Amino acid sequence: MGKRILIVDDSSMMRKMIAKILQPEGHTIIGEAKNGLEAIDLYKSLQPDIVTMDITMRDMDGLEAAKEIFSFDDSAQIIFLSNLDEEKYREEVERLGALGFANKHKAKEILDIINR
Amino acid sequence: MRAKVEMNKQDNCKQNLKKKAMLFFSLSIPLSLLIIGSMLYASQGQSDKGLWVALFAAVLLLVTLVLGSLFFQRSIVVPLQELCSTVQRISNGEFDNPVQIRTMDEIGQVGESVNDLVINVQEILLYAWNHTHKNFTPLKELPADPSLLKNEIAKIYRENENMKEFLLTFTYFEVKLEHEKMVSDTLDDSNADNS
Ligand SMILES: [Mg+2]
Repeated sequence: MGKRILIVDDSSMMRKMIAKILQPEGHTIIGEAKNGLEAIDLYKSLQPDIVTMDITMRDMDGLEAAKEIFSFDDSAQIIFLSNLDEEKYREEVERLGALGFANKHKAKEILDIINR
Repeated sequence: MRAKVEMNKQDNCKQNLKKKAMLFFSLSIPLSLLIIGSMLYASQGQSDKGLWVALFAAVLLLVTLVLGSLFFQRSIVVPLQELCSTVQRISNGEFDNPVQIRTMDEIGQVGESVNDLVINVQEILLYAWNHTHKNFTPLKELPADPSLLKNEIAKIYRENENMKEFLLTFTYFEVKLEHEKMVSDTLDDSNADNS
């Protein structure tokens, strides 16, 4: 079933690419944020089913934003999507309570994580 | 040599703007003096009150000009100089210093767009870095067993397919990526066939 998704990434090009992966699978992009602060605001106002979260962003990074989102909604469904090394950050991300971690290099893995 | 040329360019870009601003304000000073002079002349032979009004108007005009020039300097000349040198650093491949956004006027908006562009360029470069790394790892540890070898080659194949898909997401300047080839968008096909 199609999900309502919030895309968080500081790169406009990446946001476009992620949308291109998700939309053909029947998911709806209900919002896009370019840093952690915007992500928190949009999460509160849009209540998305799923968030795809970049890690490296200016202003507020993705890990911090996820912590903040989990602090008021511990059932938030957050998938991290980053260029950073998977082995090094997967553990931290899972400890936070995220749904999963995909490297941007294999961005299509977010579809598997959503369907899991 | 190249570094020197870049330096000169940067200096030029700074001074041109300053020169124009100076020219504009130095032209406005004789203009204001002319106005003041004519006001004083017009008020000659009139009452003291008329003289005071003319002087007050003259002072007001000068103060306005000075404040105007300060405002112009602070809100346009200085931010543009900053933008200019940051953009030049960026075009040399230094991405670690973003444009500082102070106001959301047109200059601020250009700065935001430049920052966005830098983030996108960096994203592509990091993607390429991950790509080479992901291909190197299996190559470095090629197993002797032929059946395992097939597995590793399949991994490299998939990585390359990911990269290809990523590169196909964009539209390009002057070139098109089609049928496994990079073709010119501007040269016509008959030309390419003849050569
Ligand atoms: Mg990023």
